[in-house]
Amino acid sequence: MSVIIEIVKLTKRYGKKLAVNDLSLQVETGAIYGFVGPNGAGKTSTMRILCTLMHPTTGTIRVGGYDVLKNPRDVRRLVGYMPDFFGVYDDMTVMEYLDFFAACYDLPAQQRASINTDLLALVDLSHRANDMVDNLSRGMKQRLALARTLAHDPQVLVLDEPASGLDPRARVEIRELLVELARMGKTIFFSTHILADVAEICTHVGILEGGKLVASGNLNEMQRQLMPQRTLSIKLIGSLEQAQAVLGNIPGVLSVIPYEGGTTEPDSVHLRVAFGGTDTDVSDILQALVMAKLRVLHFTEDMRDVESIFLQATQGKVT
Amino acid sequence: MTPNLRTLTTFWQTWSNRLGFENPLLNKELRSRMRGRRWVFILTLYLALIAMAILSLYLAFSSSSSFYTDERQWMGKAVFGLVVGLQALLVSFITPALTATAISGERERQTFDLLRTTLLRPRSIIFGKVSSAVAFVLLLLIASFPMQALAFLLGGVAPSEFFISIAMLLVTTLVYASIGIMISTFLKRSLTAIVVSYALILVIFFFVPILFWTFTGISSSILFSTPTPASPTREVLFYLAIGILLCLNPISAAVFSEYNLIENQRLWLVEIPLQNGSSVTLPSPWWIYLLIFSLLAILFLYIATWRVRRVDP
Ligand SMILES: Nc1ncnc2c1ncn2[C@@H]1O[C@H](COP(=O)(O)OP(=O)(O)OP(=O)(O)O)[C@@H](O)[C@H]1O
Ligand SMILES: [Mg+2]
Repeated sequence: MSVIIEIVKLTKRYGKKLAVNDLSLQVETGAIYGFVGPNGAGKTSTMRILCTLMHPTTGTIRVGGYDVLKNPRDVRRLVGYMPDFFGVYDDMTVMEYLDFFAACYDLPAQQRASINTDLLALVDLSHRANDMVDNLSRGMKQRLALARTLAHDPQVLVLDEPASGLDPRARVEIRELLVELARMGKTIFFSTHILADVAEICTHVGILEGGKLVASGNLNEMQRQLMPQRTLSIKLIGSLEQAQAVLGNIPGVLSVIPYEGGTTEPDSVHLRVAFGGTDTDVSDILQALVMAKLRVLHFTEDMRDVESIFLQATQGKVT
Repeated sequence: MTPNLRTLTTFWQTWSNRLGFENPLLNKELRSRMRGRRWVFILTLYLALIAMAILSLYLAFSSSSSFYTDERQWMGKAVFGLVVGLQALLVSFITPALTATAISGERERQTFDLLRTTLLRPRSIIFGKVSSAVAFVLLLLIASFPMQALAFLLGGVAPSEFFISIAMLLVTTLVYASIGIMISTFLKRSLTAIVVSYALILVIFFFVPILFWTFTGISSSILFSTPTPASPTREVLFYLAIGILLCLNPISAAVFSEYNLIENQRLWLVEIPLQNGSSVTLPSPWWIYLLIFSLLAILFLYIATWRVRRVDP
């Protein structure tokens, strides 16, 4: 896989405040890279440098081999940027708005007309083409902004919190759009606070905290790295002591914790089992329980969700 | 009139695109300005003002007048001067406000960063903003031409006077526009940008000449207090200083050039007699004014472009 975005020892200071601290990371062509981190971690700063809006204090970023400091125009040609705000011209229609930005990328008028129509269809705004931009709902504006970043057919999309402030349906729509764009061959580098989005669509994740990358890579690898143990959630009918005794004898079981609350049946027991082992070991546990004549009602492995990875990786430092 | 102007705008857009000098920002500004109803209001108000001023001038003098050529010519000059004065007033009021909001307004709407990530060049941003403002002012000026033509009907006004007035108004518009946009690139808020632009205009057009005048006032007292005839060199230097002073303000430049044209029938040059009987020839203030202020406008536009090009540190 070839690398399309290359952040090299990037540092950004605002006066004394260190926003990005010696950050190095690479994004592969075609990846959907989720850039997550707590507020003030330096995500927006990094993206603004990437989009040639701001100079780094030291270090640099290369996009498609072009340096943001030396060849900013080549970088702009490759990158479509959607900031964490929506810039509106209040006296323009949706179509005019798109056409204006397409013209700013030197596209000739003849081409623009058909591109704009296609883009509006892609973001599902064709029926609002002649409405004033100002009158669109937030979700529509967000989709229009996405269409705007696509006007010059960039290879890389840099999206700063594309799903913030949207209702669940609109969020899902944006998510589907991103997947669709990735399928069209675009590399997507986006920041978000919504970890469900990351889990759903990202091929790669980078967790930033205090301007430093605390974890990065493929989502599955990261799970293994950060959370070697699995958690089993077990419900059964029988005595707690017996269950604990059976489970305690199985190698690899780290702890067995009775789970309070939720249960209404008088005889049932709910347990959480921390465990390090393979899938075969998991099925062995179930077998052991059954052999011990315990009546198993419910046996699942808790999803090792991104939320917990995030909490595990970041220390909650105040920035 | 509105549909015609729209056609004109479309025509311009089509051809600038075909010939490869399309400026998206200029097109956008033209379109939004034509779409609003405000400009129709401004235009109507401005034309009504000129009509009323001419009418009152006419009423004030027609009672006493028979139609002697002299008197008619005087009337023609008065109408011409009045219209040019009102045009100048309009230019001064409108132009700085049009451009002072240009960049700060983009910042306030958060569209400036969007523009800066596109391939639009900084000089195109400045050109688009300034030219759309100048085009709008030009439209207002042209709209008042028919009434100005009344002066030619009455007589006493030469075409050269008309062209000089237009040239001076245009250069003044350009200077105002470039001051506005330069200030706009420095300040975050549109309102402060407008106020500071007007302030800077006052400084450039009035405060600087006054400073200069104070300086030459001292030299004239030296010149004329000496009992012996002053040396020709000092005299020439004195007239040169006065000449520069006249060129620093459009009103003084225009009034003196007009005076020179009427009294001496000289358009380009001024001849001044010296005490020793010889004379010195200096350029007429109007074109020196054009020269100085065109250069100044270029300087301001250059600074504005540099500011837009600058990446945040
Ligand atoms: N223009 C600025 N001047 C001074 N400090 C700034 C500026 N912009 C950002 N910062 C600081 O730099 C740090 C990183 O900010 P940045 O906006 O990059 O974080 P972020 O990860 O995008 O946060 P969020 O998730 O809240 O959007 C913050 O501490 C912030 O206060
Ligand atoms: Mg941010």
